[in-house]
Order: sequence, then structure tokens, then C-alpha cells
Amino acid sequence: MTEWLHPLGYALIAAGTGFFVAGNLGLIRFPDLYARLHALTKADNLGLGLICLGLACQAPSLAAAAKFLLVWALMLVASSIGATLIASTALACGLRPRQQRPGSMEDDEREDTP
Amino acid sequence: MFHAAIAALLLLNLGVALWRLRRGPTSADRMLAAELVSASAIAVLLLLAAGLAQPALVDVALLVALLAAVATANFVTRTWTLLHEESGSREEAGRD
Amino acid sequence: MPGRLARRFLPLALLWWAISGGGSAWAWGVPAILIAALAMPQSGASRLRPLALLAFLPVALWLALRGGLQVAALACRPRPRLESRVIDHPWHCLPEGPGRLLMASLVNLIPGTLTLRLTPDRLRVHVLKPNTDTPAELVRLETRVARLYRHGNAGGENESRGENENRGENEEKELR
Repeated sequence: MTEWLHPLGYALIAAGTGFFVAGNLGLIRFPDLYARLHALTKADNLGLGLICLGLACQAPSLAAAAKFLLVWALMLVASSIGATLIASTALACGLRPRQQRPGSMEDDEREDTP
Repeated sequence: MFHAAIAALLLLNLGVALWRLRRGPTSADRMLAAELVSASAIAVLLLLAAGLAQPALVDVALLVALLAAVATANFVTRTWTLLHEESGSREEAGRD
Repeated sequence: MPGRLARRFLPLALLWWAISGGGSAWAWGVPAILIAALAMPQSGASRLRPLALLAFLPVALWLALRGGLQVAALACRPRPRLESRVIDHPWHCLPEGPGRLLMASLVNLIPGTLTLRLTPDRLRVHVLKPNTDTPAELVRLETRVARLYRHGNAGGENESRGENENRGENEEKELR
């Protein structure tokens, strides 16, 4: 009955893997903690979500599909709240985000401490 | 077959996280690497559950997701602040 | 009271159905759900309007998709030139309480923003790539979140609402 969903599932899983790879690339290449947090919370979660969605398309029953989506929802909530927790603690510990002044092209190492 | 291949690719990807774990200038960077490991582990478990037709693995993935949430909260509220107080020094936002 | 119990019962039953894989074990499930529904502490989520939440879900997913695409594109560029900046978003219409926490988590999903700090008068946001309409987008998101919550409840609900607000403040302190 839902045979036609299977190719869609494969496409979604492949796309999700692409996002995972891109997120990992961001984790290596982004310059500071806050930018890496962006990469982890957005790209990697989207990758996991697409994989879950693809697997849900291929799941044998509706309940199994719901379970795949439950894993994703849990991960989405956890990582979104966790990102804010990590970022605010980092700020409280004195880690300053690197910012670019509107005029200059060079990145500043850190903002001047107030 | 397809699922196993994707799972292997994701495992390969974990090398990246290990690199960040070794090099990450601050402990928060290491925590990010650990989070990436748990996200990849969940994906691999789900893919294997579908590929090998072992629905029990989905429950394992669900548990890993729960533990990952607790781990992040624990790291922030306990470990990191304690580490910070002990060292007394300011960790710097590292340039990569 | 019975209405609130029913409102808790339905999502929990759905959860059990998904976890147990098709609901073959209702003999265990129904007592577990009942105990959970009775023992669950009052939380901010009980003031969400379910239908509005359902309508909001696709919007949130669409935002998450766009956010992921943007970060992935930035990470794959040969020389990532980030112009990160920190901006402040003053609260416009969202009252103190659980709504602000929800908003702070949602900010992490929309393209290019990350919540740094939640204070009573504003939200400090880290922006990956500054865009002229980022502040406008934040305001739009805030009005959307405000619409999810019921406001101006009459009479008997006041007490529980005060409790909720205290809870929100505590959580805020934890978030620092």
C-alpha cells in the first residue's frame, strides 16, 4: 500500500546524511564555540530529522513510524535547550564571541572587556 | 544494504568528532563533540534497526537520546562550573 | 479538573501507543498513563492552546529547514567568512513565563541565530550572518509564540498562573 513511499525514504535518508556531513564540516571549520553551536544545533539536527523522516516513510507500521519521529522530537527539544544552556554558561564564564566590527574586514580576536 | 552503507558513512564521520574532542580549546567544545557522537550514534542505531529489521534497536536509540539530554544538562550545571571554579582562569574563545 | 486530566491523558496515551509499538499492551499502559497524568507537576505547557500549537508546527519545521540549509551552505563554502555579531532583542509582547523559554529555544532553530542570554527585559542573540531583517524576523516569531498562549484567564486560574510565573523565573535563573 505504501510502496511508493520507499524511494522517497531513500532520498530523505541521503539528504539527511548530506546535512550530517555539512554539520561536521562546520564543527571543524567554524572559528569559535558559538559558531560551532550553530552548526551542531541546526545542521546536525536537521540531518538526524531527515534520516528519521526517511526511515518513518519505510516503516512497516504507523506506530513504528511514530516512534522514529518521537526520537527526532526528543533530540530536537534536547539540543535546542542544550544549545542555549551551553551558550549562556559560556558567556557567564567569560568566553566572548568573536565579532566583526561594522567597518573593518579583519575579525577581531575578542571584544574589549567592559 | 543501503542502510548499512549510510551507517558506515556516519561512523566514518565520527572521526571528525574525535578530532574536535582531542583538539577543542575549551571543555564546551569537547561537549559539542560528545553531542555530535550521540547524534551520530542515534542515527546509526536507527539505520541498523531498519536495515537489520531489529525494532528493539529503536528503543535503544530512544534511550540514548534521553541520556544525551541529561548529559548536556549535567555538564552545564555541574561539571563545567566546577571546572571553572577550580581552574580560576578564563578559558578563551579559541581561534581555530 | 476532569478537563485538565483529559488534556493530559490524550498526549500520554499517544506517547504510549508510539513507545509500545502499536498499543498491544494496554493492560500495563492504562494504569501507567493514569498515574503519570495524576502525578505530573503543573507546567507551563498546560497553558498552550493545542490547536494553535498544531498550526505552529509546520512553521517551526520550515524555519528549522531553512536554518539547517543556511548553516550547511556556510560550512561548505571554500573559505567561510563569518560576520558574527551579538544583537539584543527587547521583549515586545510576550509576558514573563514559559512563553519566553519556548521563544528562546525556538530562536536556536531559525536561520542564523542562537540565544545567548535570557533576561527579564531582553533576549541576547548571537547572529551568524547579519541580515537586515533578522530583528524583524525575531519580532514576528515573538508575536507567533505569544499567540500560542492563552492570556487573561479569568478567576480560578489566577492562582496557578502565579505559580507558573514563579516557575518560569526559577528556570530563567537556571539559564542565567
